[in-house]
Amino acid sequence: MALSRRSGRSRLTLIVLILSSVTVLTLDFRGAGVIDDVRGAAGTVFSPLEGAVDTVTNPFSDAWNGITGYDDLEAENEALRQRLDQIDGDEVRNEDAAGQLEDLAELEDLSFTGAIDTVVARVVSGPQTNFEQSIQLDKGSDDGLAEGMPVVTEAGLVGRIVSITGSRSVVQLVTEAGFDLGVRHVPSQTVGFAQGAGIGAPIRVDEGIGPSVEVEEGDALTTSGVSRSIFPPDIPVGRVTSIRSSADQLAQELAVEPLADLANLSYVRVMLWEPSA
Amino acid sequence: MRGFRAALVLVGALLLQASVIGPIEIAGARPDVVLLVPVVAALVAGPDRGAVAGFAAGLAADAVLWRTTPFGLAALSYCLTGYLVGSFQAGVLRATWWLPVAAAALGSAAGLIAFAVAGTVVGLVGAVSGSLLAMIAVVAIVNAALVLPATRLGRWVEAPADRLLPLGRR
Repeated sequence: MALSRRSGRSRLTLIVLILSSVTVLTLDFRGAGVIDDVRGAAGTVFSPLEGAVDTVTNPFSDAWNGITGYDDLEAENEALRQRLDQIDGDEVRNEDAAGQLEDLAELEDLSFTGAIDTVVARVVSGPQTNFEQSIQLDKGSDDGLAEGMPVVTEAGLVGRIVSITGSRSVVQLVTEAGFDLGVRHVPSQTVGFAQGAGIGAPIRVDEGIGPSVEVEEGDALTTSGVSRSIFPPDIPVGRVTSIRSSADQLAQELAVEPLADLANLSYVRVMLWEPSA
Repeated sequence: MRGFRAALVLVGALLLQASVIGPIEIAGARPDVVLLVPVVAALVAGPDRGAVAGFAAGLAADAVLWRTTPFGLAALSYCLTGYLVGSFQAGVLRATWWLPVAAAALGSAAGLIAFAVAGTVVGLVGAVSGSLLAMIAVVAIVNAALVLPATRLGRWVEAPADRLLPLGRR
């Protein structure tokens, strides 16, 4: 009898908690400001504690990642070595290597950010759980940043700010499932629609690139910058790694590897550009 | 006093996840020690306490760890985890040493599946995918390995103030 009463009370508790969770979820979906306030306040309180613990534990985490990622590091090292050999060979073959070098140096100065001001920010934490891919920056609204601003490295697009406090901002990475953006296939100038596909998966372009468009592996994609786009135009996004026809044969589906090295971000640039601008 | 100890353990679990465990990636998945909070609460104090601890831990994780997923999703899945583990343990007639280990592994798997399914229902794209299996394996193994010392911590939280002993002497 007592056991049954206890079990009934447990079930009641569970129902109340489930209803509370659903209420909170609903508030979040309806964009209730209180949820952002709670996340902001919790982040403000938690960040200094996290920073202090990070200072102590970072060497251990780095050591672990060094051990477990040794094969990847070795492969990356080998690829870089091959690339270096290729560059050396090109340099020898090129009679006007010095001139080319000057041109490259000029190109280096021509950032895709153009006239848009940028703020350099340090990445203070990477993804901390499963199911989400975000990073946290050490700059926030006090530094002129705002929700929606694009985040880039010299290589290309990293993501965009999705939540912000005075001193911190959270950036959703371009590879996170559900991250949508308009892209432009550079060789054909065709505009398509891309979305992140989750952990370890390339970005997918599954709309807009018709079967008649000539696409090759290695082709570059940039942000489209079409009207009401959430990004300014011409930010490099990635390169095509595979192409296939969609099930209905009406479009080509492209897998795109991001140009920015999202696994090893230390510093990024936030473009002071808002979608409404 | 019990509430204070519970809060202390919860903050410790969040910090451990954010700074030590979370950055570790194994086969594309990350361990989740915050999920141990409802599991241990349920093992020590039953389904009622497990569900409440899961809700609290989930809300805290929603606020500081799950930065881009819908707020409340972790609270929902963690409270279900606490309830399931507590009910599982209550249904077992004879306690054995491996019971908490099995409960932690199964509870962690159930928690992640609940998160992925509920996430898909509320529109979290890609929550149910091939990488879910790797996540379940990693989280279940790590939590099964940590559950025995964590249960000791759970007993310390649940102990009446006048019967508190140093952790090592329990």
